[in-house]
Amino acid sequence: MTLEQDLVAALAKDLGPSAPQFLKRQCEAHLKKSPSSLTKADLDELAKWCYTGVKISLGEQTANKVKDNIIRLK
Amino acid sequence: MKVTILIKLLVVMLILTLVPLGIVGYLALQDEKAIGLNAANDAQKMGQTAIADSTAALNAVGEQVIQQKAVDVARQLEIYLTDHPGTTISDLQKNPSFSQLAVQPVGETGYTAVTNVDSLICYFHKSPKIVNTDLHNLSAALPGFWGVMSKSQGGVPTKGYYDWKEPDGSMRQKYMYIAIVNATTADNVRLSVAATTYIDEFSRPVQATSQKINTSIQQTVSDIKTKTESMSSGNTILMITLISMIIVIVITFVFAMSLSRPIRRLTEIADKVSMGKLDEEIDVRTNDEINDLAESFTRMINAFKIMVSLQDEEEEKK
Repeated sequence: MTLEQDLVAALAKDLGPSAPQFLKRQCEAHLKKSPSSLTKADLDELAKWCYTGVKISLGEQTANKVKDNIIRLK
Repeated sequence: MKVTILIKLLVVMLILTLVPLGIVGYLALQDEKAIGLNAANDAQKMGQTAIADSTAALNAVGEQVIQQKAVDVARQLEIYLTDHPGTTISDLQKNPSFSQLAVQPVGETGYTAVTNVDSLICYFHKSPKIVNTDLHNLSAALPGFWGVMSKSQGGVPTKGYYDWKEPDGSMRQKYMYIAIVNATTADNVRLSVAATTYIDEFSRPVQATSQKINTSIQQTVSDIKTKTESMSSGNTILMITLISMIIVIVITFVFAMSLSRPIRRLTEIADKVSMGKLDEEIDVRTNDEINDLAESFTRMINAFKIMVSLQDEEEEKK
């Protein structure tokens, strides 16, 4: 599995079918990369932006879970 | 028509419970009836066997009594003839003392009679009409009697049963033993003593007992049939069935509610989400597939929220 697929699977645990679109949005808007070009070095930055994005919509508890799931992929 | 989970579960559980219970109950009732009838039949057979055995034993005793009487009388006549060597049969018939020795009671209604063993002419009999009668004359009228008597001709000790026709036309069985007198009269007549009476005189006590046994057996059979037909076991099985039904209904209701309640709640949440209310909390917690469904619902709502959020961001950028 690629890192992108791992990330989508980790995000889907809480975000469901919106995970690929959410990941794409965070990568392009904040990391200026496509999800397929992500490396493990990007995960900390990605986790931070995902936390922020999810917190707005789903609350801090879910945001923390999403962040932890991303960090765990390092 | 909507068939709810509760109704489906109730139908299945009731069928699974009541059908085997019904089959077992039916078989148990059939067995109980069979056991009751067998017990009644056995009691009846036992009673009949007891009566038959008792009757046979008493008849055997009666045969012994009749035989002993014939032998005793024959011995008494022997002694008399030995003591009176010059006495002819004609002299003896005129002698009341010898007549008393020759004709003696047997049982309740029987008697002894003395006959010439060669000619079968009866010399001494309870009925004066028979005295000096050739018993050959009775062969046609009383074939059973003649069958026993004829075997004694020539001086052979004989015994046997024969049917006796009563004045009312009914037949009763008599037993006769013919003993030979081992002494002759002065005119060289050889004699036999026949002792005979109704054999049922001896078994009469058991007939009374038989009536009591039969009455008792009839009562027992009647009791068994009454108890079997009263369906006491049927009522017990019915009670067990009703209790089982109530338990099954209660358990099924509780179980069905534990299934349908979270499903109804998820349906309610789905309806609210469809109306745009994405802040509905999913408070369904179970340990089965419904919990998985609830988590899917949560992810679906989260996805909606994220999609809306992303949509908003897109619009803001524009």
